[in-house]
Amino acid sequence: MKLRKRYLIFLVNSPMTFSSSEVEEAIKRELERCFGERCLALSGIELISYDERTGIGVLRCYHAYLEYARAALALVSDIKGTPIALYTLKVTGTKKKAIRIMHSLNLNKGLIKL
Amino acid sequence: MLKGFADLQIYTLESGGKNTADEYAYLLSLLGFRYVSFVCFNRVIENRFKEYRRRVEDYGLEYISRVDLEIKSLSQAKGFLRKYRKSVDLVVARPRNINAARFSARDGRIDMIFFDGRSPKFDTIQAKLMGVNNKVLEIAISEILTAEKRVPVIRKLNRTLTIALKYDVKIVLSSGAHNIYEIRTPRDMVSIIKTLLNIEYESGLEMMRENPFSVILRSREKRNKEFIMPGLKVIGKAKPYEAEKKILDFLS
Repeated sequence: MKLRKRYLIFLVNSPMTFSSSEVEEAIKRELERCFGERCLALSGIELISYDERTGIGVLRCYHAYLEYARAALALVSDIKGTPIALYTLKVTGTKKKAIRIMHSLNLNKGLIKL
Repeated sequence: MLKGFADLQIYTLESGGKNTADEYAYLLSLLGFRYVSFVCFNRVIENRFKEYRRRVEDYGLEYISRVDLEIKSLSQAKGFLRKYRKSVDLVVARPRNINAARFSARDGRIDMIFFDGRSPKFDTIQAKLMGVNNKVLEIAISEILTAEKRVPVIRKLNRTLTIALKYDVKIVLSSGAHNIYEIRTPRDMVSIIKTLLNIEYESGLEMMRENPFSVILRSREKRNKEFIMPGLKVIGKAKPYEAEKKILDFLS
């Protein structure tokens, strides 16, 4: 079976700002904690882009693991004791479209900044 | 016609939460919810409900009034129900012992049952009773999010859901949020229960869309003045019946 890629555009809501490595680490930790190392290895999860200023990012995974990636994002509840919530805003099939959507959301940051 | 996602269990500052109704309403409107309900323990405060409704409607959401009754004894429960049934959309029972749980499953005035940390275990007898009496079971996603050790929580929820679905008990999935960081988008919540609790995606969506609405509609029907009992309602009023003279003669 061909492993097609999916790009999840997500939004971070937290009283503090976090670096892309901290966010990626939290997502991977949650995926491993709930679904195991196998899922972490096979899901192909990777943070493609993350804008610290707006809190919007793009996460890549394989289509068969889309629900796991989405659940892992939703299950992140804190980073170093600071409460955080990650919301999946949109799922696309191409990186180009994901980046385009991310930038269009950046333009409307007044609407999505919580 | 009711349409859209509902989050029926949110704790505001007044009910032990950390955020105001305003903050929740703003976030929920952005995340695609349409209906919202805030927990109110053991009493109905009309002014607070009006305030919630006003705040929620400012963000284009619809407010569903709800009262959570912590039931310890049957006499206390009956008192609560007599007092509050007609004034709120949803009456949710939080049983504190097994008798209270069975009573909640049988009584027609209770719409939903929520088994929290202080409730007895959800068992097959309870599920059978709830299935027969069309009672809805509420589960909160925050139990998973906030748990330090997720294993016992997932095990408990898995067991509850398996038994409930076996006996056709309808389930409503709520956030159970105590602060804005415990709220998730509807589809994210469905993804969590799909992956962790093995629930079909469509069933998960039903738990957040169709099931809450069926409870709300049924409850509103009960509050209607024309409602007498399930399946029986007043459809119109006729003139007082005057029997003809010959009938009266015959009867006499």
